[in-house]
Amino acid sequence: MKKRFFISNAIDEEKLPFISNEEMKFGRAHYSWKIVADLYSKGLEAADIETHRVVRPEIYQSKIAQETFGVRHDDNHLAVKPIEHIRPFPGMRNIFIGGWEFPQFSNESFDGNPLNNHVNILKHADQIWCWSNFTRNNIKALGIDTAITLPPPVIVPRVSDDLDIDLIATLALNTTRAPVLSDVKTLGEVLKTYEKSKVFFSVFNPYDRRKQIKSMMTAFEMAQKKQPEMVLIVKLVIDNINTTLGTIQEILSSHHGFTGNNNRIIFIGDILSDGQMKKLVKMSDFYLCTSSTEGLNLPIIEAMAQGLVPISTKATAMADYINENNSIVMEHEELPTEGPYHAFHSHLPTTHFPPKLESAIDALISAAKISQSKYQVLSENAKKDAQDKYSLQAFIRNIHASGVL
Amino acid sequence: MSNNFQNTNTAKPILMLGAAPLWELEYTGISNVVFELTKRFFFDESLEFEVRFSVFDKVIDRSIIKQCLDNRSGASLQAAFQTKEGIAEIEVDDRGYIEGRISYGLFLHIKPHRRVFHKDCHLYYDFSFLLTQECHTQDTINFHLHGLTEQINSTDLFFCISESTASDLQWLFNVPKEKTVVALLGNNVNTEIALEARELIGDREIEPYLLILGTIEPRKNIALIFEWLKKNPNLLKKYRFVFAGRQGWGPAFSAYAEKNGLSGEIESGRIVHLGYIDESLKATLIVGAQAIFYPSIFEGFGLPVLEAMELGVPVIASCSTSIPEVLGDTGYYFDPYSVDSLDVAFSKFLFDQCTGQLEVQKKRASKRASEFSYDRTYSVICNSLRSEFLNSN
Repeated sequence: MKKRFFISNAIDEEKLPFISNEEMKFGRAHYSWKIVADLYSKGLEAADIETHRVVRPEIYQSKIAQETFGVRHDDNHLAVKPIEHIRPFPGMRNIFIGGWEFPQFSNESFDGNPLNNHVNILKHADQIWCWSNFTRNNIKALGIDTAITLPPPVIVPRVSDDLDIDLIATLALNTTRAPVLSDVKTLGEVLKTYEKSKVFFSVFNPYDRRKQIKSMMTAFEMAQKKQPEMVLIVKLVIDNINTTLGTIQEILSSHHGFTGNNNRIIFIGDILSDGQMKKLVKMSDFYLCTSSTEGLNLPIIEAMAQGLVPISTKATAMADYINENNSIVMEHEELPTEGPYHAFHSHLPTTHFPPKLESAIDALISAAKISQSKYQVLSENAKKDAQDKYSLQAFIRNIHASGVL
Repeated sequence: MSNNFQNTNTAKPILMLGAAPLWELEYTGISNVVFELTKRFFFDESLEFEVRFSVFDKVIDRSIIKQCLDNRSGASLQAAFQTKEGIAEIEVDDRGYIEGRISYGLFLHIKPHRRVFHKDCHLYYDFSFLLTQECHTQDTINFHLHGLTEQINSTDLFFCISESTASDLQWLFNVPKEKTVVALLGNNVNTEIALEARELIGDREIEPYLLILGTIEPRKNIALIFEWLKKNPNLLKKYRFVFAGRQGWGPAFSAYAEKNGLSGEIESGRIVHLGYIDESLKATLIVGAQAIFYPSIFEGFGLPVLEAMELGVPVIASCSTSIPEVLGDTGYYFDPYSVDSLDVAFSKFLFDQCTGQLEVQKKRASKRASEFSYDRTYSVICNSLRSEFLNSN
């Protein structure tokens, strides 16, 4: 009989049965956790393990409930959620995901809510699967020995579609006024204009402070003054409802204090297919990541797996896969976070590891000047390292080593 | 202090019973539990504690409490707070002594955020405001969370109305198991009303209907029933589905029907929503039903289940949280997240109905219901107070 894993990843109103989100007013979906839960699910199934979803594991407390649900003695529960949303499944082995990206954890019930006490919640796990050694070490430092490093497999979709990328709408950061329709160019036009330039690609949510967007933009502008043949293409992770491509300048200004004027910084706001994303990666030369702290950083690993050379620090999760043999590495520094870097920012002081601006500029310049042969070596190493650590085979190997089977 | 705040035996340690829900004008839900327990504490002269009664941060004259108990209403208490007659400050010294005697607090609802008496104990109903936050407004969540950690940290003994609540208390707050005592609620179903209803029905055959009790709100999970009916529309030919409970928050009752293409069944009367019903109508509806459904996704106890059991009506219930503690092995369970599971439970019910096993099940349920009593709840609490407080001193 196959082993079974019950995965809980529903958060807030998603836990209400048979009610669509549109009918509810409370709560918010956490999109990126869904992606990670799907990756774990695919990895477990590749390891010949059955996976099922469970919405509210904590309610099956009694023997009768466990019989009704059909709990078997060797079942496992995998909670793929932010720590404060995790609930244990009584009677099963509980495995929690550790993706917290700061060295400090909350050890208090902030706002009177015991679920805000990370340490207490994590102590209820039989095992904690951390996405990186960074998080594993931080949890172990709390005296919780159940933490191991077991990231999900990072699966680059094989699918390729006929959807072109030439007609994708883009907006350059080349005006300080509110953009008008005529400012929008197609990606095809942009690429034609800058066809001799090195393409630096990045993906981020423009509200995410960890991404150090001001540093990224500033470093690019400074580097581009010395190496003009560069273009930065940013795929924005936005809902296209409340936040649209047209609001990017306002977000950069109001959330990051950055007002740029550079027609080589190009934004894409559309939701793209997997095939389109692959094409974007393929036409790029470097993946640029200025993030100050990460629990895993899926986009950079996906880019590496496709042979794109990263430009990043090797702090936090990136320490597991970024090195001088596969990347152009930026130096970083440890600083206190200021402002809403995370949900507990008003209670819990944390530190992060932003890249040093000078180092970021140097990294971009050196990337722009890189020889073809050196690039080829970095690219092949990036691909191999991503494969070695984050392939399905690597995941299966890790799960066998974890002792849960 | 006036003698009206105390009973006659002045040698005993003092137990201050925090009974704020008696303030309410009608006792249902938590205020009914408080009423049942207060009544027993009030009249128990053999108790080793001298019981005094507090509401909010004031000690209340026994005569006012007596009026509340006699009238099953907090009207006299509310009037007393207006005139300030029969109401005094609680005066406890730094050691937790009152008038030179050791004092203990037993809070049946909200407890102050600090230790007040020599030792404090507190009755917990459920942590739904934490574990089903999506079913509450932020104001409600904030109300319950305000000072909760401090309340728990300053409590010496925790009473919980179910194992389920005790288990949540333990994992959420790291409360040691030995400090928690499960005092299952009692059964105070008004069987007289039900008997009257039964007499009214007599031998007459009534059209078969299935009853779903509870406020129309997401936690009560009537959405599951509608999904099930959408898949099994033929059930509506055999049974009316009667929903009884006020419209709370979330989608309107009619929206559930509309979403599942069952609006026509509301118009034709095959699906009925009665809104709020009083105790009398509730008991009547229960005794006439083929079975009751209780699809809730989270409960601290599950009183409607106990009522149906007591009245000999089969229960088809969600297996969630505390419900199995009440229903035991006398009902038909389903996973509140699975239409298929509900289908299986209902099939078992039909099978037992055909084979005659249902009558056995009803009798077992009724017997089990009779074992739940507020005398027992009271006894569990008093025994724990004795062993934890008197013996330890």
